[in-house]
Amino acid sequence: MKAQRRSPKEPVISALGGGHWKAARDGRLALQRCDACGQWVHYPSAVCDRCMSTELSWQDTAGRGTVESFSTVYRGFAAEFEQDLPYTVALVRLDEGVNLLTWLVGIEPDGAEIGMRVEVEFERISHEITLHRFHPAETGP
Amino acid sequence: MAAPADIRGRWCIAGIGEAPSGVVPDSDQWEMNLLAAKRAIEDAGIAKSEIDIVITTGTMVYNRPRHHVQLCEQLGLPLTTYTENSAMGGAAPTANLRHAVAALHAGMGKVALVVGADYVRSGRGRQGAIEAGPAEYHNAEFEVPYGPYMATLYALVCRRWMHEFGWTSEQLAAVAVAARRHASMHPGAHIREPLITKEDVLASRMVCSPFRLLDCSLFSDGGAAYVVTSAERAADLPRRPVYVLGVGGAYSYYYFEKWPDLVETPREIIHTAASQAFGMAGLKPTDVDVVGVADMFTGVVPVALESAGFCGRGEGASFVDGGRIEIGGELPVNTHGGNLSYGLPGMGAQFVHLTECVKQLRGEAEKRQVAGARIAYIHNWSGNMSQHGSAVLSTEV
Ligand SMILES: [Zn+2]
Repeated sequence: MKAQRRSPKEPVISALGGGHWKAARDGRLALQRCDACGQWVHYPSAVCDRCMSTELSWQDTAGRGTVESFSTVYRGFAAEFEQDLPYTVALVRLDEGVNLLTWLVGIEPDGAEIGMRVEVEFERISHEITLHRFHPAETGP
Repeated sequence: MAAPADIRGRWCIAGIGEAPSGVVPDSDQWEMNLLAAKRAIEDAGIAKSEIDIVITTGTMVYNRPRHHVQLCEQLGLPLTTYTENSAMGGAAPTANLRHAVAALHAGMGKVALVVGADYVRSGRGRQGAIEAGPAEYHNAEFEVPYGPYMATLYALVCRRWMHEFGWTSEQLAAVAVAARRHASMHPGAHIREPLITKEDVLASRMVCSPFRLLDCSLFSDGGAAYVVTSAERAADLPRRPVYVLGVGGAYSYYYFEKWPDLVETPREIIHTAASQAFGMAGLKPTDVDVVGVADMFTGVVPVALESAGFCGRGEGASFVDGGRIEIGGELPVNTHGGNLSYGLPGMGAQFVHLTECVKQLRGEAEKRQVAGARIAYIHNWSGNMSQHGSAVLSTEV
């Protein structure tokens, strides 16, 4: 885990989202999953968007996925992100089938590729907030 | 239930009005809405007391839930029977046309006024308008911490289409070139000069890859309004009626993360709305003479045209290239200059896309007139491409 630095815009934690943020503080990428049909649900919701069951629980994902698309942001739209420019926003499709908006790290600006395999890592922003980022997956033997 | 064939040609746009565009000094969101509405009513040549349906779109300056009632009050419309402030946002020009036609066709009124105008550029400032995206429309828990802006999210979509079909930034630049050329011919456009080339677009600084500065639109003040009534009533009015031949709508996921696929999902949503409109009209894209389509970024224009069926799968970028979408080309698109150069007035984002098409059909587009323009297609969307409206208009039934 990297050293703490000045915060980007912090998330507004929703009433249902606590399970995600608690797991993130422990270095786990947890999302809701439907107890009835097994569907992964993101964002946190009171009902499963497949079967409408209200029985959902937090489960850890494997934290691996594929880059669906990415955009490197060069212009500082807001002061909170000035220090991070350029940063690469990506849509990552987790192997569990759910898309996350995230940052790609460990790559050059615009150095990502669609279809690239990536793995989660975490950056602690504050006592309460730890954000997921993704870096290129190890392509071991 | 009314069959599409019963709706086709029964209702028409009898008048249009446009608010000033660009950076408008000493005004406010009410004046933008009121000017557009007043001009539309006067253009229609109808007594305002005949208006019984009013559909508004709110503003980004502040969000008053009873915007529609307040606007009626200021227009001196003390009693209406079907009035709403719709949350259609950018989709409103066509989505609210569809709502107006539905209400008219159901007999819930006789004359509809549809308004979409805003004072976002001056009311919130350039930076405030840009920051409104993340603050108000993106997910505060799972998107905002990653610093995406409207441009970033659309960049994700367009990069995927580019990847999938081999589209190039140079092809997409043709959209910005066409928009600026069209705006240069419109005295009211926000940015009329300089004319730009593809090289200029490609040399402008990268904002959110693959979008450079000149791939992006600019927030403005402005907007427009129109009056819808029956073909019978319009026959006695001064303007040449522009008939609603078809309308369509489609609504889907709000957040991009929910899309099953960055190419197939928007294609399906757009196609659903467009094919309803073309189906009701009994026409196809090849029948269209002039187009008004969402262009907040260059790359979304080929996505919208291809998805609606103007070209084959993967051909969107080559379709918009080579001058085809310029005035004088095979299919002029956004002849007023679009969001890219005419302006993007917040909640009135693409109302002028529609009123410009009405001008084209009435033969009143002056230097921008597309010779023999007979059939127009308009498509707009809002909210991360979640709400879509399509319309096919013509001066002939
Ligand atoms: Zn379920």
